[in-house]
Amino acid sequence: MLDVRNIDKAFGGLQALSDVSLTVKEGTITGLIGPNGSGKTTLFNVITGFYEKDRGTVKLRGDSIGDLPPHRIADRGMVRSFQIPQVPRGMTVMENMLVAGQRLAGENPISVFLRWPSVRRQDMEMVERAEALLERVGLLRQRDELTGSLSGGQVKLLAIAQTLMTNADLLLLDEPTAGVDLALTDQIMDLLQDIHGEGKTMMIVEHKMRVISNVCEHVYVLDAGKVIASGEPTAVQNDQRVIEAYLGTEKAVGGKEWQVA
Amino acid sequence: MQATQLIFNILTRASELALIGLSLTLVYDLLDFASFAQNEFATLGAYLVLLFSVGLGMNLILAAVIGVIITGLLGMLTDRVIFRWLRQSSAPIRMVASIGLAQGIRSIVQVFWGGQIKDYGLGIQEPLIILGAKVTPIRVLIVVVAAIAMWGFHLFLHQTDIGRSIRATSDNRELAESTGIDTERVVLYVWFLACAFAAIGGILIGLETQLRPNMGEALLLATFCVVILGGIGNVYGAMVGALIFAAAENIGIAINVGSFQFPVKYKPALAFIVLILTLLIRPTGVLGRKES
Amino acid sequence: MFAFLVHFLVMTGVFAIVALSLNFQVGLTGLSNFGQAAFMMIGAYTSALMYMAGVPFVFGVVAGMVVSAVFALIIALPSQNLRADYWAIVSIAAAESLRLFINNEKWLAEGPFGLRGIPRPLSSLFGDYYTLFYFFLVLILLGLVYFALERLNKSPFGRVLRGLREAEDLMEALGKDVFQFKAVAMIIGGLVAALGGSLYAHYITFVSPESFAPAVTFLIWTMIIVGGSGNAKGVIIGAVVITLLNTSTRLLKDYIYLPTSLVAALRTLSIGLLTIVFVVARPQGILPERKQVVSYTSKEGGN
Repeated sequence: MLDVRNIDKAFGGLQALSDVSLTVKEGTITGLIGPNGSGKTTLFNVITGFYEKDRGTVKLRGDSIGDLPPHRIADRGMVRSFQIPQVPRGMTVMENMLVAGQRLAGENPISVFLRWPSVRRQDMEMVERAEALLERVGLLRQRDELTGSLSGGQVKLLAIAQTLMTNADLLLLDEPTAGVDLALTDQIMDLLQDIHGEGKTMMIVEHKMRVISNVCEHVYVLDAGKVIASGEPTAVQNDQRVIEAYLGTEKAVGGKEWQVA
Repeated sequence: MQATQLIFNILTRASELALIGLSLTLVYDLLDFASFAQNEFATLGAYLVLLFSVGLGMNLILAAVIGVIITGLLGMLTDRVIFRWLRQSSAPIRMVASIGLAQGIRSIVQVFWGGQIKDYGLGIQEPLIILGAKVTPIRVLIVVVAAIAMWGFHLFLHQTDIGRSIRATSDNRELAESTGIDTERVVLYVWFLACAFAAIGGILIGLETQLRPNMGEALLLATFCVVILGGIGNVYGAMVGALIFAAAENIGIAINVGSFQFPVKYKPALAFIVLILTLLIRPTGVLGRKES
Repeated sequence: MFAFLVHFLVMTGVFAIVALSLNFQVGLTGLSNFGQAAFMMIGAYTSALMYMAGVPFVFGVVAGMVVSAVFALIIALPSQNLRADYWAIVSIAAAESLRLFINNEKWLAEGPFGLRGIPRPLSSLFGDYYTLFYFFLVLILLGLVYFALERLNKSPFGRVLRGLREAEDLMEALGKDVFQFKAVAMIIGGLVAALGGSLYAHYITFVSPESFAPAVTFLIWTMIIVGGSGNAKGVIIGAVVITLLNTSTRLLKDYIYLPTSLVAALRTLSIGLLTIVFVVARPQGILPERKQVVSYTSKEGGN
């Protein structure tokens, strides 16, 4: 479904990505792991059009999307979440959900006036859909709260729910459980598996091996901008090069990079 | 027009603009917003010197020194009273606050000194002939003072502790904090310097021409042009930008090729054209601006 | 006294319309537009010139709005590459360039002398009661503008604007062409400001480039900051407060003698101080922005 080949990306003198290639098969959950600074988010940014690549190709369902801006890529069915979630603090949870709807008639200001009844009807449908999704992630009670008042974990849930509001079937989630406690991590893991069960394809960046092991079918390991390993979670976990990459680097955060249990 | 005359005109204009430009760029560098008030500090400085010299009979040089220092202190005061509370606000909000401040300073000047044109009472000066160019002693003084101020500032930035801490804070505030630099104190120093430089600029303009309450405001777009041209946030950019801008203005007007003569009335428009072109083609300016 | 009151209300209404337009760009979309006076100027000059040339009033006003929309689009173009405060400077530069252009090209619109004796539409019909009529005209238009902009605010379009105000990347990632939305917001704000400018011109019957100096834009910004950026009702209140401050000097002259330049300076001083006080102490304004509760089941709230 997603075919990434030979991506190079440099910032000034720093080579952030070198010859990175990976594939994400339709209907699977693929993991992307690596020590801090290995280029995971950079890769996400390149794939989703936020950064321009220096070299390589990105193909979604066979079509090249390498030169498209992010909003056009989202139109084609691939959306992403952010490692540090961007939350419009002046908007409510419900509004955050509604704004994620794609190709809404009401986004055209002229339609807002000339086709008000159908804009309104579509909005009502979107509200229903949003309420169902919010219930699913356990945020329905916060529906009319400003997002600024949500906890970090709730914000992460909202971000995932937002991606589900879109029509995308390929979701790129950047650290969906970052900074989230154990219980919530479990909740998110279950959610991800549910989404997977509904046929959506996902690629997730993660640090917690527990999540990777339980959720991903295939894992790519990035270190210093290069893919150093790829395969099933257990195989990758035991790969000597991967272990060295994590232990050998000073970027490991108090050893918690490598949480197996 | 004589080449040397042209050069001297350019230098004079550049000197006046560079000082206010430096003021602007210092505030932008350390406080991350474009302040509309610096031009009014220039006005204020000029008028304070008027008060001391013409009003109280002080020696002009002494009055100038006192005026510059007081303006610098007032700059520190405005940070304590206004901008200190806006550290977390967005840049446009700080811009709006600076607009309010600018209006405040300008109207205070108008209230106390009235709207009529005033001057330092130096009388008409006989121009000297230097290298074929007619220059009045005042204009020589302007270029010399500006040059000394710039050079002095350069030395200050590199040879003194305070200068070094300013550079460190400008490069990377968090890093500077972690090495023990009191960045809030640095900000105060910068306000002092910025407003002092603006005052010097205002006094020089007052010396060359006259004092009016809107003398600072009239240069608003020109000074913005200068700093953006040179690279906003880069202190050397203010000097480079001023030279380029003054050159563009004077050479543009001097164009007299055949039957084509550049309309003088568009001299102010030149500022905008240069500004817009710079922002569109090379927003970082000639020397590049600070990354944010 | 009554005459002053009606005059005050007309001016408030006109400026409230322009303030709502700026609020749409600044408060809702987060665009730091410091060139709003130029859009007023386009509306004022276009409708005045056309009306004086015999074109029906409404067509002239609409024409002004169209020209204004084009100018808005031009100014919006650099917003793609420039950060907020840089783009703010572009907006002033563009506005000032336009003003200078009109000031210098006398053949266009009398340059610095401005347009005098702009005819008031339907003046023969209302004679002595004209100001009252004009007040109702402005009031109705203000109501329409308020209603229209509020509807846009609560619509999906408005949500995208408010979303990109603080989370541009997120909006892009969700499929919104952020630049397009910003450009449209600029255009909408521009053409409403032009409407305000036209109303201004045909009431005051005289406009010159001086009438649209940057000080006017700053005045409108103050209305938004004092009233409440992002809250349409607040912005109208801001317009009332600032216009009161601005026009009260007329009243003042009847009671206290002060030289006009001093009065003007005190006026500017008070507005400048008010701006600073609000920015520092109450940046959300008198009426802060309210959250939108979207609900289709209950009678109150939402749409």
